[in-house]
Amino acid sequence: MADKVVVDCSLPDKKIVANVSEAAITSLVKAALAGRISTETRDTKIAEIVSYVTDVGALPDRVQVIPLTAAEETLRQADETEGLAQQAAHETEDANANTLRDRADAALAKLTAGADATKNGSLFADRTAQERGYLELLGRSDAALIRLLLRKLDSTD
Amino acid sequence: MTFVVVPDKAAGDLYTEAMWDTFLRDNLNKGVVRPIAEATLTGAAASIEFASIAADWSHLQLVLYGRGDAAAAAIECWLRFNGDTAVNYDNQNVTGNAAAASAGEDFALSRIIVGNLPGGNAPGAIYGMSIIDIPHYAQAVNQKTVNVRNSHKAGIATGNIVATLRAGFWRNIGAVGTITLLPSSGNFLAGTRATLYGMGGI
Repeated sequence: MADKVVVDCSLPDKKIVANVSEAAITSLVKAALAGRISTETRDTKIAEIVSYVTDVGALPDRVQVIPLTAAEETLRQADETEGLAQQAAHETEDANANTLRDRADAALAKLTAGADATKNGSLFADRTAQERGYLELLGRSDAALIRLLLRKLDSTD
Repeated sequence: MTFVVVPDKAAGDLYTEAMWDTFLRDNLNKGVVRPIAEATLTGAAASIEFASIAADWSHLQLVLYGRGDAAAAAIECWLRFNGDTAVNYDNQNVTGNAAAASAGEDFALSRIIVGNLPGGNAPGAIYGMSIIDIPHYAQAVNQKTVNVRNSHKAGIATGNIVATLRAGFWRNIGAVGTITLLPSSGNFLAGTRATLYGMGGI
């Protein structure tokens, strides 16, 4: 059976205060607070800290490694099965999306090549730079629009 | 808990215990961002659970550095709140992989997907990471929303490194008291480290 790690956030972190003696705490606090607070306040703090450390020493570790229960193991296996199925579905979606993107890229390349060839052809030799710019812009987004525009330009010549 | 603005100190002011408690103890314990709990795995584990999370923070942030041991190039890392394994979670992602960008959504899953991590078939010593923001987690009025930034690597050839931005939603208004991280298959590998931070408010 696999293990799970459980961190009980309501418990103090023992490792922070482990192996600290009362004498060491007293010495540290006195040195840190020398001249900054009253002796009475300092001693109160020292007593609180010593008490805290003593209490913490009696507490269990906040990080526990616990074997999964049978029910949790069953759920884990069900999760794994569902997760694999979902992953396979996503991979299929990605493959389909890639195929569509490849097709779109190929169509755009063909369209762009066509628009460039047309732009450079004799039909557009006498167009203004602005007209050619519009045609290029439209040709990149919609082949039908370029054809309509070509007809319109021809009819007005 | 909110941050209490620290007053100026004038010459001759007595630094009282009340001031210590308010401006040092309470501000450092609850008024700013500080670590609440942490687990660094020394052996494989099926999940990492942060339980009994105090309700007096404004927001939470969970930082994960991890890897799975399942026989795959990558695994998903999942998150659940309060042990809820029902299909109460919705997911959206935007993913960058080599030069390709993609996006996807999943409704009514049994978990929030908080990114991919290298699996057992990825080259050794490669770990992935996720930073998971869980704002306003302790209120019990509205549903919870999660944002994730995930980095994942499965090799040094093109297509093997991935950056993902993820959104997760829990269809529940309950206050979050427990957060569970679990791999989509197998275990988290030793060396995986998860740290939970609490953020104070104003």
